[in-house]
Amino acid sequence: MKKDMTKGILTIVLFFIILWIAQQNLNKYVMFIIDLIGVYMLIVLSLNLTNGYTGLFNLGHAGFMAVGAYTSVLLTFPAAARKFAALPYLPPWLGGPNYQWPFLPALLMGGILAALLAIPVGLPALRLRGHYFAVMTLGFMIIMETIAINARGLTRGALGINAIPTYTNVFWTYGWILIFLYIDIMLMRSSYGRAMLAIREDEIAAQAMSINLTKYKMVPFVLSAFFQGIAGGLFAHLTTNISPYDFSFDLTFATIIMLIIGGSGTMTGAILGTSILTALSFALKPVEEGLRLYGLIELIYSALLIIVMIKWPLGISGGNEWTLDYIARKLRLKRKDTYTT
Amino acid sequence: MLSASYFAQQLINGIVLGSMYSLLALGMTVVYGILRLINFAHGAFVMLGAFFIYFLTSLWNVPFPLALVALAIFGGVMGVFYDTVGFRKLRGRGELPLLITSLGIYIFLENLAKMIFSPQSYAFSAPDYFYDRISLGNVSIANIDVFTIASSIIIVVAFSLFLRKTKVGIAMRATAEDLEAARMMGINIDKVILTAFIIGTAIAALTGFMWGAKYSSIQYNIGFMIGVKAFVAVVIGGLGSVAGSMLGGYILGIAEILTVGLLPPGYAPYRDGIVFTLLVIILLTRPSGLLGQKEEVRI
Amino acid sequence: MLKLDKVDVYYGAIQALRGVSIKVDEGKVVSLIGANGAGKTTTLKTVIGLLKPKKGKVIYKGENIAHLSSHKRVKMGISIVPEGRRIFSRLTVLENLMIGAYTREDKGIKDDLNFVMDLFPILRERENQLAGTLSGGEQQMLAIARALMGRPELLLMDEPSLGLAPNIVIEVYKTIKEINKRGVTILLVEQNVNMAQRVSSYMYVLENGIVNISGTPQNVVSLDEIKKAYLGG
Ligand SMILES: Nc1ncnc2c1ncn2[C@@H]1O[C@H](COP(=O)(O)OP(=O)(O)O)[C@@H](O)[C@H]1O
Ligand SMILES: [Mg+2]
Repeated sequence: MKKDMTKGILTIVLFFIILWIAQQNLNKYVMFIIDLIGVYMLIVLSLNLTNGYTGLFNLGHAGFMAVGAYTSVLLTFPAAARKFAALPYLPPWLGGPNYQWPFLPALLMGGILAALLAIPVGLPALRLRGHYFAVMTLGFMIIMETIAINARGLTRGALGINAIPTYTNVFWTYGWILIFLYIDIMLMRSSYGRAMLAIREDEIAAQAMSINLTKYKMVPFVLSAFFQGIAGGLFAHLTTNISPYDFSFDLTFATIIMLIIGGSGTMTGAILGTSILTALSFALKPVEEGLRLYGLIELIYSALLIIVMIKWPLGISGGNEWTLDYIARKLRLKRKDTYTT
Repeated sequence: MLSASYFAQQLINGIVLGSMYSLLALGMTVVYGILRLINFAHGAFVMLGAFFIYFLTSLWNVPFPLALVALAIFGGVMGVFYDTVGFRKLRGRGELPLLITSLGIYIFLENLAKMIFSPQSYAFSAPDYFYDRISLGNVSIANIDVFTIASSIIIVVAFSLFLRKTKVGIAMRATAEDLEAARMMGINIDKVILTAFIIGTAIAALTGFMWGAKYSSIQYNIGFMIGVKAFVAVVIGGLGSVAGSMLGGYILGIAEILTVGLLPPGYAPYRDGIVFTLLVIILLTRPSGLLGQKEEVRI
Repeated sequence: MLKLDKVDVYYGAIQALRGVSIKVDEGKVVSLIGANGAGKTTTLKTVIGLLKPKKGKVIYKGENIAHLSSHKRVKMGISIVPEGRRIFSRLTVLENLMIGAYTREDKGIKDDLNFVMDLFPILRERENQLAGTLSGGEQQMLAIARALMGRPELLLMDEPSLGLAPNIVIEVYKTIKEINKRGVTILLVEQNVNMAQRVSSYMYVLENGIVNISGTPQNVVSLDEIKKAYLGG
């Protein structure tokens, strides 16, 4: 156990050293991609709490991201630039017109508001079965988008907000991923996590074992909303401009596809799916633009999704966590196979 | 000032929109009844149908009635592909995989259209006589609106007769009620499902024409909202009920147009939000809809 | 007429039938008895084609039909009265009967309709009523009539006495005899051994997916273990 811990800490330290070296040496564009992969990864990982472990097919995560993004931007936006940007000043109880929040508390506030919103959304939605839940959360996302478009005083509506201060970097994104992974692992090791998995396998049987379904669904739902809110904040302060359409269908489906192709129900699947597909989309972007084949990336994404659904419903990860042990075991098995043939 | 004739005009618009939702809801409810599939891709066939007839009539000057027949056939053929490529391989895998696959197919078709037709919108027009107006006292109604309302009634009635009177129609109802028992009776459920898809997509393609003719413009991305709203209409009316899909379609269409027509200008973007608020309310208070039966959970 | 040859059937990873072999000769009533969960329904579903065996053969009229789809098998003359009746409650009585004849294309459907309505006059009275409004006994009659509408050569019956009042059970069994007299071969699944033995010429006993005991009804019923398990001592 102790040995595991040291190993884990060493891996993390090594990982951050690599990130630091990367930041010193790689160009801005590549770092932006790595950052964006991190933001998506946080979304997809948190989506895995509901869609993967608990079998709740959430399509509302973009709505929670929007809450986090707008909250964080409104709190951190430079006081001097507010008038020009047509954004409201902070009311006295939030610091007053001359105040702007530091990044971390603003980010946290975005996450907390998203989580709080998840409670009234979840109370009714979580009582619904299977695909009704999916449709209802999709409805939530659309309602949030409509609000973002119409609440111009706060969001500048369809125009969007520009010139958001750049705060997000790889340490922020991957730091949050680390926090998420820690919570995720602890949760799934607890009896709570086992109950969540039981719900996914068989809702009726879980009920028979007197697992309070709504309660066990609420925790992953709210927790994932929190991290989606955080991811929204990170996203806003990375891309430096946001509009309601950033938190809409495209993002919803792209992240859903990443999770399913990577493998719902596993952290490593979420990580693999996000990395591969985001990298793929950046690799294809010049092709799409060069050939003027707009939609090519989504076309490939969706084709992959359909193929995965039909042929490999468990995705790349195959339903297993690709820990180092697992990979080593797999490689060993492969070698054995080649001996026998 | 809201005059009576303005209100009547809006009501007609609501009924026209409701007619289109009814037609789409019909196709969705039939497939849902058998497969428990929330068919997110349904709207894509509206979009593809609209482009298909646009190219036939505007570019290649195919005579209109012929083009309409071709459109229905085109829709049916899409249904065959849709079922055989997507869903035949997913039989018995539960509701969510079906829903996810239909979502994937929707995204695929939308982006295929985006690549082929480019992201721009196209000016769509039906033959001139569709835009002549019949006047009824203070209000007048365009022929295209009459056409849409009448077609939707005719198609819904014809489909109800098909379900009551024909062998395949009766088998379709039997399959929707108890799929396994239907198989035991020797019903080839693959054929029944295929028939349901063909009818649904053919109607969707025809609706594409009505949509384009009514709103005069079509674009690669018109399908998603149409499809999702048609599903909302299905839920309002009651899943699996043909009469319900019609009722749900009208309620939704009228509610949507009236909120736009009666709210102060500038609030139009709220209409999608209102549609989904309606969905949420129905799902919570009356999950089997206005005319639906309680559905059994199918594993 | 029908022969199962060492049939193995699985539900996912769970094996429900283990090397089941049974034989049903033409014109006979053969019964398959066993406790709840023994695999009786699984056996019938394998014959009608809802389940495909992983191993073994299903031979019908000399042909291995193990991999044919259900609708082909029904067309070849196999019909089923499913466990729990499974009538289509939102269809009328008449529509249910027409579904029974779904695979047929011959001209005799109308005659057969008259025949089953003569056999069960109640169905004629109720022909335009929704089947869900019938009583349990009437639903069982409808399920049998519906199966007969397929003009079967082999009729599979899954616990036709389940949940019915004793006098109705007797009526159902009269009908079974009557149907058999007209030349229909019957594979009858029952837990009601007492009734089953009266109509059968041969019996198989299924336990946990395995057939261990078989013989004439007299022989099977005289075994102590059968008496204990099925006949209350
Ligand atoms: N759909 C199914 N999935 C998994 N196991 C099943 C299924 N249906 C039946 N079984 C199992 O197969 C065995 C045989 O069931 P069945 O054939 O229905 O028994 P019987 O008809 O003799 O009561 C039982 O152990 C039952 O639990
Ligand atoms: Mg049984």
